[in-house]
Amino acid sequence: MSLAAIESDQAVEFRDVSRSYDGSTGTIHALRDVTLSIGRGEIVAVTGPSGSGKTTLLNLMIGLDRPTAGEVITLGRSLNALRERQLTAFRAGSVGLVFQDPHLLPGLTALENVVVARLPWRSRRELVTEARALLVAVGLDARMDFPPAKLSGGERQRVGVARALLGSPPLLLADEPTGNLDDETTQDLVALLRELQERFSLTLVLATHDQTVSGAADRIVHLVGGTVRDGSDHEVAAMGSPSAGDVL
Amino acid sequence: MIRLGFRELFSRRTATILSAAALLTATMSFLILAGTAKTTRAALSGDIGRAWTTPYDLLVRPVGSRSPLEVTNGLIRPNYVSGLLGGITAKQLEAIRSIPGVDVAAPVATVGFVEWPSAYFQALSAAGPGTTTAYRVTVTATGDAGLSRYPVEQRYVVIAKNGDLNARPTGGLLHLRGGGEVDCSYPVNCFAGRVCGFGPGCEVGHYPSTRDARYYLPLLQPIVIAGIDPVAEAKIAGLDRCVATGRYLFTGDHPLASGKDEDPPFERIPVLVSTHAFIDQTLTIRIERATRPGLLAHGTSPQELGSWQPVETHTSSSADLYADYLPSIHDYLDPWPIWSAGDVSYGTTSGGGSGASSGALRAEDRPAQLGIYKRSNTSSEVGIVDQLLIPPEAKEAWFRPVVEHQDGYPPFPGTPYRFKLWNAVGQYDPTCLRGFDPLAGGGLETYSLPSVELPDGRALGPTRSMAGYVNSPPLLLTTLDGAAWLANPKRYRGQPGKAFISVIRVRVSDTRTPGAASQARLELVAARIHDATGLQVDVVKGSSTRTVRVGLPAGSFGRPALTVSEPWWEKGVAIRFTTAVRAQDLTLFALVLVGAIILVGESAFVSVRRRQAEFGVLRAIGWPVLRIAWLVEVEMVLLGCAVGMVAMLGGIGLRLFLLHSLPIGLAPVSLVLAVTVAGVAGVIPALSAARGSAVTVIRGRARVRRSRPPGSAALLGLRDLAGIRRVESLLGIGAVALGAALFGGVLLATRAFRDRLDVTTLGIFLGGQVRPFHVVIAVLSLVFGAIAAGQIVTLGYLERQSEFAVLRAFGWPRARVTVLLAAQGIAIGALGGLLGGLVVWAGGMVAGESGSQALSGAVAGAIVAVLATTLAIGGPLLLAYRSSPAEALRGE
Repeated sequence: MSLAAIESDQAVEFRDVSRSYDGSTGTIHALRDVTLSIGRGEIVAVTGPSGSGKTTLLNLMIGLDRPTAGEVITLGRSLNALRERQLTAFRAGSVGLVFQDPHLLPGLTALENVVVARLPWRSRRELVTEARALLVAVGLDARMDFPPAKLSGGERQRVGVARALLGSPPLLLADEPTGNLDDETTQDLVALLRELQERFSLTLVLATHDQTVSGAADRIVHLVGGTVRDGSDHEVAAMGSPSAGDVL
Repeated sequence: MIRLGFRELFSRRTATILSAAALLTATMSFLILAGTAKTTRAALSGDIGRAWTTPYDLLVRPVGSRSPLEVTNGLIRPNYVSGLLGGITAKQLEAIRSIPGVDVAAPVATVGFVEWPSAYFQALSAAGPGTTTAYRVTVTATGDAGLSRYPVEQRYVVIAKNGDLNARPTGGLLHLRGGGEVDCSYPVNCFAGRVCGFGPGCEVGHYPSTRDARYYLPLLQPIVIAGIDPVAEAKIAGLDRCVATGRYLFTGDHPLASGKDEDPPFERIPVLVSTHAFIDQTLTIRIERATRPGLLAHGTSPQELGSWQPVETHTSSSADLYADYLPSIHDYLDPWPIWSAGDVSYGTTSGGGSGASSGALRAEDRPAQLGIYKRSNTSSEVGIVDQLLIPPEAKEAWFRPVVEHQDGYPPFPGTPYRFKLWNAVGQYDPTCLRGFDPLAGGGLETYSLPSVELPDGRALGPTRSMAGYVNSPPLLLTTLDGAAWLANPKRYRGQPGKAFISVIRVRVSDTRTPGAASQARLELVAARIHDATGLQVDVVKGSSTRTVRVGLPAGSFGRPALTVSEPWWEKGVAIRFTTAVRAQDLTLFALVLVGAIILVGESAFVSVRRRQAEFGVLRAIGWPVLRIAWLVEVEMVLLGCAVGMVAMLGGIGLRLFLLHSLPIGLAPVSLVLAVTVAGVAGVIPALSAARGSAVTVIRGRARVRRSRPPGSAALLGLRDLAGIRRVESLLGIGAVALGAALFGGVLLATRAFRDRLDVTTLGIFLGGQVRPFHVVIAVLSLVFGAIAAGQIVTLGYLERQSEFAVLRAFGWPRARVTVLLAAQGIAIGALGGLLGGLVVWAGGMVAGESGSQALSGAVAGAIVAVLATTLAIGGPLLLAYRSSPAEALRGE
């Protein structure tokens, strides 16, 4: 496979992708023969019960993990063929990540936390200018010099979002971004994500349990036991929620 | 609380294992250190004991007998006794003997030199009947280990069976019957068929007839004589057990005057004679015969005979001549005076620095004063001149002043002068005497030859010159009465008279065990002697020798300018060494203990900081502050108990399989030690855990400040170190500084030993014993410091691996994360090394080391600390480099 980007309308393509781990109780199949496509500019929610493979799916999308079978093509690049260094460069230039816990560095301010994410690749001056703009965009213009300990949970997550958008990556992945937030803050964050997705023409993939979040998606991919449940849409998502009882 | 503590420890296995590892390292290290130190000290005591068991303990000398070198450097030249002529009276000796604590007081009264008239002779014969035979005898002597070659003389011996010798004491005139005359004055000796001048006509067979023909060379041998107390000497030196023939001296052996019918009058001096002489001289006698002796009948002198045929060559050593003379010692009335030789003066060579401390002394020489040998011919041989009595070595430049003690010879009528007759009661073997242990060196020996070593390892011995550089020990020992007779200034001008004793060697009772008590007793007795007599007293016990290099100027007979090595006596080394080692032990132990507490405290602190949220929750649900602190302390003590048990088992294992010298009693101590170290180390972390309000504890403490994004991964790491990880960073820097300081300090101490104590024989030996202990200390201290730095990096990584995983997910290359952590470890190592280096430098300067030495110790400590730290952080850096961000995020 060529390392060059493949012209494609798809932001992400999974072709019969499987991922398994050796655990103490035997082999754990996190994903089994997953085939899916996510179009550019699309908002996709990945739902499913805990342990269904949501995080694994996201990790595979950006090359943080490698499939044990199948092929992952992200933004036109087959990640299977990329070396570690190339994957690192790929993530630095093309992917933004939002985590349930933003894992901000406690010794740095909000602005500094945003800047350090891309520090190895770009000049500090450029990064500071862009980070300031992003923090304003996420509504933290008055909190730029605050350390994480002085920020609320929602504010910390906004810092995480600003950090993810630094460098204008075309693909934004969010893994349970509202897991630690209350409803109101969740709604605010979802609104913010939608707004930013539109402003920056992002492809947004959200792994979530939260129906508020999944409700904001164009499409839902529902995972159960490491496989994609047919008819991935809002209804399926609702049906496949943990409360539906068909979790692993 | 205890159960909760156990659960907490088990639930945070990584942190617990790290803390336990730190504590176990500290405990086991301390155990090994204590065991090693104890072993080393035991060996040290034993070795000091060897130097401690000296034949005598105090040396009493006359006031003013200290040389400038002794005053400035505490150094005394070997065989100093032979250069000391009196100064102590018999009354002072008795006063010393009556002082409590004085077990034995053994005097040595150096009288000076007497000269023994030994001679070399070689019988010569006529070549054939009716002919005249002429011999040429060429004699040379070698000395100074073969470096000097002295021309002694060239003599001619004419044997004329058909000649008449008109004899005179100076030689006379030989008339050859075929015509011609030979002048028989020196250097020609004549032996003839008939000798004229002793009676009314010429006689056949009268001396010097052809039957007496020989070559005769008188060789005066300088012999040092000293008076001793036989009883005391037997106790101090075991001299009575070294009698080879005859008997030992009795205290009642007095000089005995000759009977009225004996002429000339003489005094029998009782002496014990050495079986060995030590003079280094070999004579080579080359004998040639004239091939045309008939030319003598035509007026040709023997010196003008041009053709000589080698006959034979003989060699003879001074030791042989001495041994040959011993049987005839009773036959010879000694008419000679007594000479005394002073000590050598020393200067410093150019650029030699501070004299003996830099090992650059120069022996100062002076012109020869040959007048001391001048006297009328006492030889019974015709044709021998006084000049032959002067040893050729004495014509070299002199190293000592020599004084002659006699008004003149023959003695004036009416003077109390009497000849001396050496009444040898027996012979002793000086090599059998037990002397000082080699560790203490031979600097204080009375009977052995001083060691003067040439650069090639050969020894330089004494010559027949009384003013030579190397002085012979006494070979004639008489009683104190005998010495007093010889020291009478009415008989021998300038002799010391009543104050005829040169030194007194004192053994003090109850000082067998080295240590402060014995030292105090020695000093007490020394002070009492000084108070009672006013004499100068030095403590000899615990002394050693120190190799001093001495430059000797070139001689006139082939010896080049050279540098010799001599073991000089340095006073009080063992005591200084013991004190130095004990003080060092205590200091190093204390520092290592502090290092252990820092190490364990640091890991505990990191562990507590990681549990801030947990403590905040406990505070929120109503736990009192002190109870939280107590929880941390209980955890530490439990950890100490567990580690102490392991250390105890480890100690027993070490004792059984590896370190057999490890005292078994130390194993239980390790349990107490581990609990104590853990308890003390846990105090600050416990107080830290209880600090702040519940909210600040849960959320962390931080303040709003102006953002200044770091420019690189390394700067980010350093900022993190100075901000969030300030306390453990300081502890880590302290631990590394301690390691650097200990290492540099040990280096400095080793150098101090080398420069000040290692220069002595005992010091060099003991330095070898102590050095492994120093190495253990230095390595342990470095390990502590390095582990501390490695621990900060490891825990820092483990604590924040999710943060690093996020950075990796955002595209941070793994190398950048590694750089961030490496910067932290290296910064701790560099700052700790710098701080430790400063401490070493300051300590060195305060201790009086030179600036360059202190600086080199400081730099070495700092560099090694940085290197050790760099090695120690290698593991965690590798861990960080190889980590997978996905796994780290999954593990959150």
